[in-house]
Amino acid sequence: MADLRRALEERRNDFAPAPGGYERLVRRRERRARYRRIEGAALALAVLAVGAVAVARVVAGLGTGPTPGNGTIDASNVGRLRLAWTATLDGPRIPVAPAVANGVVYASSMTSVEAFPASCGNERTCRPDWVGTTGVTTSGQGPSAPVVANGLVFVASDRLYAFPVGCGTGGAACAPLWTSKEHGWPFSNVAVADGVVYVGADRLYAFSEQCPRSRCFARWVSVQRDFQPPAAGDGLVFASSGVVLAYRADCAASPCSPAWQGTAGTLAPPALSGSGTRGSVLVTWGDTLYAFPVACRPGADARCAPEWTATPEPGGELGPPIVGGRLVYVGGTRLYAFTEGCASGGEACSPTWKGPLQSGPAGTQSWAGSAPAVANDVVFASTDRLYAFRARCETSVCRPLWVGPATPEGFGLSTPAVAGNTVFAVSAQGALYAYALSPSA
Amino acid sequence: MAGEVASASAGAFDPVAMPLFEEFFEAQQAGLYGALRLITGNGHDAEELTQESFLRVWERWDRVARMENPTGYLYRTAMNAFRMRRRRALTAARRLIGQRPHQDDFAAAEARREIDRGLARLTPRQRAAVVLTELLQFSSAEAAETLRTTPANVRKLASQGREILRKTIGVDDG
Repeated sequence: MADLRRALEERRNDFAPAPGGYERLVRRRERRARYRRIEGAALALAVLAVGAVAVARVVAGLGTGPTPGNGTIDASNVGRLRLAWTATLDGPRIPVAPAVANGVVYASSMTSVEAFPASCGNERTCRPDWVGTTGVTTSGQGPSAPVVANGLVFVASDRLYAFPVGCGTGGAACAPLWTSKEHGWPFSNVAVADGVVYVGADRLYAFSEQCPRSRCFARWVSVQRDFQPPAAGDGLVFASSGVVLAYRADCAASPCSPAWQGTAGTLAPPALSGSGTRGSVLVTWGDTLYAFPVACRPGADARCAPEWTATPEPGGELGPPIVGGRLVYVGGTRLYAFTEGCASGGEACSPTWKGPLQSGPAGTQSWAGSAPAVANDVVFASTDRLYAFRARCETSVCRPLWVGPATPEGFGLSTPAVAGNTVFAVSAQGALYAYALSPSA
Repeated sequence: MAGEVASASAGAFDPVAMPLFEEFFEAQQAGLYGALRLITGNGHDAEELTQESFLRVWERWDRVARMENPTGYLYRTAMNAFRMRRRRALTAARRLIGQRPHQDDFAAAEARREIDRGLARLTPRQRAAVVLTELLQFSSAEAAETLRTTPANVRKLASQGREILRKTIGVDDG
């Protein structure tokens, strides 16, 4: 060996770091963040106080921000998103997605659903047009993400509530048009399809959308118990009771038995991909994404095996999936995109692309606990901030087109809702944020 | 942190234009791990120091990404962590046995190759100086900044190291 540098280089090349280094680093970062949170509880309170002051400063400076108006967010202009306005909801909670329909954005707070004008651009802090008070679940949670359909806003907490969309102005208190007779259990997310409202609780309940009574009885109730949020489409409604269950929407019997059941369950809302008999119902459980065929023909044990699975972060925790443009998106410490039907026979899929979700200081949420959202070839993911990626990214590692500012408290944001030129998201600290396109330079 | 909201809105901080930390990690991980493996002499310490160094860089990534030489900052962080770790180990060893330990990790490691046997004869600081200047081609000034010493001392440590390696296993510096 005549050359020291070459000898050192050759020896160094013998040493390869163990695979999964980045995932270990992410976990180490999260662990350290947790330790710091525990050690610095008092400090955290102080930081929150400072954060509140900072929010006030931001809010005070909002008058000069962009004004929601015409235009549509797409991949070419998403980089121009800027904070347009905020609204304060009543109390911190696990954030749930807002809903936007006909120029109104609906957001669930701790004990109510609130309706804001989507174009609140000239206001420093947007005030609601109306507030519909709800109960809380037996576990102390507020109402589910609102769902708007045929002139009604549906939320579920201790029961199912249906509010009329144009319920009032100037912050009026709104009474529900009808509520479910069934109550008491923590009710899950709501799904609406073909005039039927589905909600999970101790069982899966199906209500007529236009219920003629103020206290509405369910049209049918499932046999199984302990349900997680449903998804509905193509004549089937999917829910989870430890495993994915598929019911016929026109179930004639009550209690209703499932058409088929999967081999894995979910704690998060399922997503539907494709259409008709070629579609899939997608759920995440722990670190794995499962795709079950909608038109499953179960075997003798009535169980349906997944068409394909994906475990992009072994040992990690995936958020709920979403489908858009023949791609399935799911978030963890990164955002992953999979091609619909990317495998069959239960084989594992690799992501078409992945997008890093970088976060700020330790102690802030850096994983995507909420489902992404897709609109106009842009996919939005949320951690303690919003990210926008090109939905059809052509590289295996996709760089974000836009990254929003961190929430002052560093906690996570909900699944965003996109309408026109504005993106809306709710934070765990109880704030509704509206990011709108600013005028081009 | 709401200040971040305001500053981002004003365009003063553009995280989209900033290099991605994950890409930096993927590009630098193997090199740093290999260098630390040579310096520490064992895989466990090298892995720990690699993770710790990247974590410290990640926590400051918004600033580090805009530095002229983020890789230099990474190696400086790694050398700091190595020095602190060694200091803690020495202190703990003195408390346990009342004297300075005779062997370091590298000497205790199984030296399967000539270069390993040679490196095992160097002190940790000599090893660090040799790896930084010979393998990573740091200048004396850059290595001095990384090792928190003077350029003259780096040259001295590297020279001593090369001399020992030359006598032990016959390599020279080309």
